[in-house]
Amino acid sequence: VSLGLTLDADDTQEVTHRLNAFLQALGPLMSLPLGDVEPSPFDPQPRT
Amino acid sequence: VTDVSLVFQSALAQGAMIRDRKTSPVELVTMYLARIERLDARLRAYVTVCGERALIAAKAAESRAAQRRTLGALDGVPFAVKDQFDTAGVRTTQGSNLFAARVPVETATAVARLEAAGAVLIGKLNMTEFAMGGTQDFPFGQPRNPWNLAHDPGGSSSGSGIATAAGLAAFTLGEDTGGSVRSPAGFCGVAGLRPTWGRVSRHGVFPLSWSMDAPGPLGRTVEDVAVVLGVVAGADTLDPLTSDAVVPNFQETLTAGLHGIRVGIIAELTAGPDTDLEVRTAIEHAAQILSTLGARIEPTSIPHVMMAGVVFMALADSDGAGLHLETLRTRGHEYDRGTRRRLLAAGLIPTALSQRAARMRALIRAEVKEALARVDVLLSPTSPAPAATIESMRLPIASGAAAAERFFTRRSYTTPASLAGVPAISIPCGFTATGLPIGLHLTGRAFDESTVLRVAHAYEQATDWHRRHPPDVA
Repeated sequence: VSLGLTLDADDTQEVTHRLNAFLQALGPLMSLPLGDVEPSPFDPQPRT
Repeated sequence: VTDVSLVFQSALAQGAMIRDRKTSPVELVTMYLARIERLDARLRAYVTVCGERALIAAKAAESRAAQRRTLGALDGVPFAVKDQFDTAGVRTTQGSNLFAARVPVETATAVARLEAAGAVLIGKLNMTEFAMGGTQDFPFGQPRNPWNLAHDPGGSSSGSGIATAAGLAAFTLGEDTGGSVRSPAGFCGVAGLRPTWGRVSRHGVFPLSWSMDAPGPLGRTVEDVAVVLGVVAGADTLDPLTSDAVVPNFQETLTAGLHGIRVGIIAELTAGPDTDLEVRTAIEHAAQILSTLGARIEPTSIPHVMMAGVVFMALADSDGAGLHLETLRTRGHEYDRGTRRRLLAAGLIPTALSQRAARMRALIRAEVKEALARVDVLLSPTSPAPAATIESMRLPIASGAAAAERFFTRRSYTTPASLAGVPAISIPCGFTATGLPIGLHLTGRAFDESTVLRVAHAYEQATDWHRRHPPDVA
């Protein structure tokens, strides 16, 4: 249970595999030197 | 001109024929409706066909043509839009049972602009649920690739790719967050453009990820895509994040040629271990053609490009999980199981990793911008492999590694442009030995769709891939 969401038995296995995929693929980011990268999602828009 | 050759004409050619009184909007709409009736039970491109409404609009266009008072290049030309775009009085489902009976009272800005230009809306197109991809049981029928019905047409704008390729509309609109216009364009063998983020209004388009959602056109020619983009682009007071940058005449610069154009071929995506040999060969051959047309081809690297897929999914799926949270709590069982599981997994990603993904997004964007400072466009495959079979996409996910392979790798081919907010197009550049289309992907600088379209048009004019139509429906 997370955020008030319930996980029924049918969904549990696939949700677990999907979450593991995220954890394994994103894990290496923790050791990359990203501390100085501003997490801004986009550049300023050209405005007239 | 036979019925079949007429429906496969470009949208611009159809518009010219209407103005020259060689065909009529009513005739065109009637032909497309008949084809939808005959073919769509197999292809499932459409969720809703609005024939009666279309014939009324076509008669008005016909009257304008008779009085030589047409509204422009697209007046009277039949089009269809992904069911993610609101259309007043016409059911808009988002590809979901949750919205199966929803009829909006407003029309999305992009659709309204096309109708104001005289184009005739003939229907709403099938899509993966809430534009998320991975739908297992499509509530409005399984969309199928017109080149091989056993294969996936791409998504999430599945119906937009099918209808354009199979001659079920003159052109279509899709919405691209991580590749949802370019993937179906690539798999179905048509042109599909993701504009610069903020170039086209998102008003009336159901959101997935606010900082990446980008409505865009699909057409059978690059010129059609350029003209449709010119109609739908530009500032909109109803979407404050739409840029008010000047919208150039995209059609005017299409034929400027490639002399002096620098094309960077992305090494990691073209020659990397994840790319099929047939795909790699087609892309390298396309680079040779661009070279003979006057472009300078340069090897280019985007060092973290293969992280783009997972970074995109971590961010976009988290946005989606937040957006759907309340509905998931109360009506979770009404979602398709593929969508529900994707949203639930995203809701469990640790905050520390989401924050790192956001920083990695900025790094990938910087790498894309750096590459585009050295060249005018980036060239790569739209997908590492041609369209997979529908059966393979419905196999249960048995491990984390299987999930990563199915979801992350292929998305790394289209999501760099999404993460960077820059324009990108997919155009056909060949076929596999089994007859499935291969997509060529061109990425450009922010607000420089003109150069992307110019390179794509030059390639298209030098080849005949865009003139081929699916054999079972042509």
